[in-house]
Amino acid sequence: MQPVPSGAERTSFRAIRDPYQGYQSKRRQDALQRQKAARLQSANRARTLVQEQEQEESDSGLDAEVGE
Amino acid sequence: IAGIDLQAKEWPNLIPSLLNNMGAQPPAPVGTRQATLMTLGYICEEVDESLLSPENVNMILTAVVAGMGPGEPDEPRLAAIHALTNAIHLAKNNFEVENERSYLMQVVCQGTQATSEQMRVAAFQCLQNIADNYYPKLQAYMTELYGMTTKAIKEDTDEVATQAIEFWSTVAEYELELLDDGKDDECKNFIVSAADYLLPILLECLTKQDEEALEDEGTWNRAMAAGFCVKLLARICKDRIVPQVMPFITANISSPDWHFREAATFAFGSIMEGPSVASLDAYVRQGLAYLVNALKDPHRIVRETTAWALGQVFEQVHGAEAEGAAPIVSKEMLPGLLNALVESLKDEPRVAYYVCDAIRLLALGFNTGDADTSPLSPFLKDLVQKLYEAAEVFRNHPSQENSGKAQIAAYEAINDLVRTSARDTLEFVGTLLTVVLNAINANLAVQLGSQQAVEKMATLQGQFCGMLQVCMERLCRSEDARAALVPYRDQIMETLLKVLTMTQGGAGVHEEAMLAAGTFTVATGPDFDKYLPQFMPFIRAGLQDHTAWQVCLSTVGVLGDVCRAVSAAIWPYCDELVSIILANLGSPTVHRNIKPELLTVLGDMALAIEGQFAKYLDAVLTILRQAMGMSVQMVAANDYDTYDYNNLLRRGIIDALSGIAQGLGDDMLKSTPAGAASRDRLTAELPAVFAFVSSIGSDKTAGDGCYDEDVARAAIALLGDLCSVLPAAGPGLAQQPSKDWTLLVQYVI
Repeated sequence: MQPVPSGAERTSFRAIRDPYQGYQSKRRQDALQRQKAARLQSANRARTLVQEQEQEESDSGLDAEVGE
Repeated sequence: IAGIDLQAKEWPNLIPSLLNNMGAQPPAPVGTRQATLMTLGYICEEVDESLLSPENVNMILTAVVAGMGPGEPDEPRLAAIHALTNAIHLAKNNFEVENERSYLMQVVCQGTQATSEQMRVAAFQCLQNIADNYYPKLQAYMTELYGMTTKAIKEDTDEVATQAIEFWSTVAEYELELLDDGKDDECKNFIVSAADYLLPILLECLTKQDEEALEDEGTWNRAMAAGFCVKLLARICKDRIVPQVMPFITANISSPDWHFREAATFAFGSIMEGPSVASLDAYVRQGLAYLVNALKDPHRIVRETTAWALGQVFEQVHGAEAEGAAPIVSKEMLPGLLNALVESLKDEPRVAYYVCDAIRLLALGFNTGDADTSPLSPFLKDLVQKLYEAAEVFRNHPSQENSGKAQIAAYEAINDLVRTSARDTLEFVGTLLTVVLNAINANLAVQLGSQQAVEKMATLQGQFCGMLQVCMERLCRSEDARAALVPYRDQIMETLLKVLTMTQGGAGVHEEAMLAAGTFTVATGPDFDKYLPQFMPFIRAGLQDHTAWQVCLSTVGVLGDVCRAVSAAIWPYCDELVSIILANLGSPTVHRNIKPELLTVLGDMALAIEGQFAKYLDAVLTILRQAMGMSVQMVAANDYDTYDYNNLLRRGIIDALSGIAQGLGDDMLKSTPAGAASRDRLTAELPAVFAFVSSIGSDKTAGDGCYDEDVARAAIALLGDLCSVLPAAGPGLAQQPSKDWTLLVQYVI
C-alpha cells in the first residue's frame, strides 16, 4: 500500500532527470507548431487567391455595365 | 478481486464480513484484525467510491478508527492508519459534519504523537491526504497542525520530519493551484500566514543534507523535502520571501562547512521563481560573480548545486529584465562566465549535467529570433565545440554514473544554442549540420553486437537526427541560409533514408528521423518531389504503424509537410494514401489522438492536389459527417473530460473541410462538370457543417462563452471559406435555426 506517493514523485525535483524524452517532446511540439503555421499560411494564400478572383470577376462585371 | 467483484455486484457480503472481523466478540486474533484492516485499506484505495454506500463508508471508517485505538498493538494500528489514509477521499460526508470531522482529525493528530515512528510517519501522511482532499475545512485546526508539524520537523527523526514538511508542501501546492486558476477568494492563505515562522525552520533543514542520499536518486529526506517546500513558498509568497531568505544566504554562503555553503546556494536558486525580477535584481547581480567562483568549490555537491542555481538564475531572471534595465548577464561578464561554465564541463557528470542545462538556459535568455547578432555570437562556435567534445567524453565513459544523461544534456544545450543563434552565426550552423551528418553516417557503419548496444546507438542516432532537425529549422528561417543548404540536400536525404532503413532499436529514432525529414521538406520545397519514390514507402509504413502511435502521428504531420512542399506531385500516391488514412480513421485500434491529425492531413492533400481530390470527396465527406456527429454528441454530454479531445477533433474536421473547400474551390467556382458535382456534394453537407459549427458556439463544457480560440477562429474561417465557394452557403447559414455560430463571431472579434 502506498498511501501518499508524493514524496517519491518529487525526487525528480533534485535528482538528475533522464532528459531525452522531454527534449524529444519539444521537437515534436516545434514540428506541430511549424506545421500549423505553414497550414494557415497555405490556407490564407488560397483565400487571397479566391478573393482576388472574385474581385477580378466583379471588376470585369462593373466594366461591362459601365460599357453598356 | 474485490475491485472486479464489487463492480459486478457479485460479492455483497465482502464488506460486512470484513467488518465482522473488526467487531467480533471475543475479539478476533491480532493477525486477523491487522489483515482485515489492510484489506479494507486496499479496497478503499482501489474500489470506485460509487460502489460503496455512505453506510458502508461509515462502517469502514468506524472500524478503521477503532483499529487505531491506543489499546491496540502497533501492527493493527499501523494498518488502520494506512487504511484511514486510503479511505479519506471517501469520507466527504463525514468531513462536512463538524463533530465527525473533528473526531477524525483528533484521531489522526493523536497518531502523530504515537511512540512508533512508523505510526507517526503514517499519521503525517494521512494529514497530507486530508489537506489535499479537505483543504477548505482545515482552518479550525491550523494552529494545532502548525505546532505539531514544526515540532516534528525540528525534533523528530528524518522520516517523520520529512512527512511533516510534506504536509506544508501539500497545502502549498493546493494554494498554488487555486491561485493559478484565479480562485484567490478560495485560498485561505495558510502558507503566507505561516511563512514567517516556517521558513527559518525549513532553511535550517536545508543544512541537514545526507551526502549518501544525494547520490541515491530514490531517496527523499528532510533536506530535500525542505528544499522543495522552500521553492513552493517562494512561488506563493513572491517578493516578501526575498528579505526573509537573503540573511540566511549571506550568513552561510562562505561557511567553511560545505553543508552550509550548499544550503545557502540551494536557497538562492530556490527563490528565483516567484519573486519579481525587480526584487531579485540587486541580489542576482551580486550573486552571479560569487556563483561563478563557486563552480570551483572543493566539494562536488556544492559545485553541482551552484551549477543548478546558475540555471535557475538564467531561467527565471536573465532575459526577463524590465525594459530599459541593464541585462543581468552583461556582455562584459560573458567571457568569464562562459569560461567558467566550459571548464566545468570537465567536472563529474552530475555537475556537467547542470552546467549544460545552465548554458542551455543562458542561450534561451538571449533568444533574439532572427536578429543580426547576439551577445553569444562571438562565443557560439567555441561553446558548441566544447559541448560536443564533452558529449563525446561522456559517450566514451558509459560506465561513469550519469554520463548518459550528461551526454544528452550537452547535445540539447547545443540545440538551444542553435535555435537561439543570430544571423551572423548561420554559416557556423551550416558547418555543424555537416558535422552531424558525418556523425550519423559514421554511426551507421558501426557494427553492433548486443541488443543493449543497438538500443544505445538508436538513442544516439535519434539525438543526432534531432540536432539535424534543429539545424535545418534554424537555417530555414532565413532565405539565404536556406539557399546555402542546396549542396547538402542529397546528402541529408540519403542519410535520413539510411537511418529509417538501417536503424533498429526503437521508435524514438524513427520519429526523430521522420521529423527531420519534415523540416527538410521546408528546406527543399517543390524540389522534394525527386525524393518521393524513395521516401513514400516510409510514409506508408509509418501511417500503418499503429503500435508506435507517436511514429504514426509524426508521419501524418510529415505527410502534410510533403503535400505542402510538392503540391500536385503527390497525386500518384494519393489513392493508396487516402485508402490507408480512411482505414485508420475507421479502425478502433488506431490511437484516438492520431485521428484528428488524419482528418487534417486530408485537408492538406486536398489543398495540394486541388480538383483531383474530387475522386475522394464522397468517401471523405461521409467520414467527416460521422466525426462531426461525434463532436456534436460530446457537446451534448457536457463532459469536461472530453473537452480537450473534442477541440482536437474539431480542428481536424475544420482543417479537412477548409482544405477541401479551398482545394476544390477553383473548379467549383468555374463550374467545370467535376466542379459542379463537387459543389453539389459539398452543398449537401452544409446543414451538418452548420450544426457542427453551431455546436461549438453552444458548447458550455468549459464555461459560458469560453472557447478554444484557435478552434473558434478556424470555425469562423471555415464558414467564410464555404460562403466563398458555395453559392448556397450564405443563404443557408442565414436560415439556420441555431444562431449559436454567431457567438463564435462575437468571441473572435
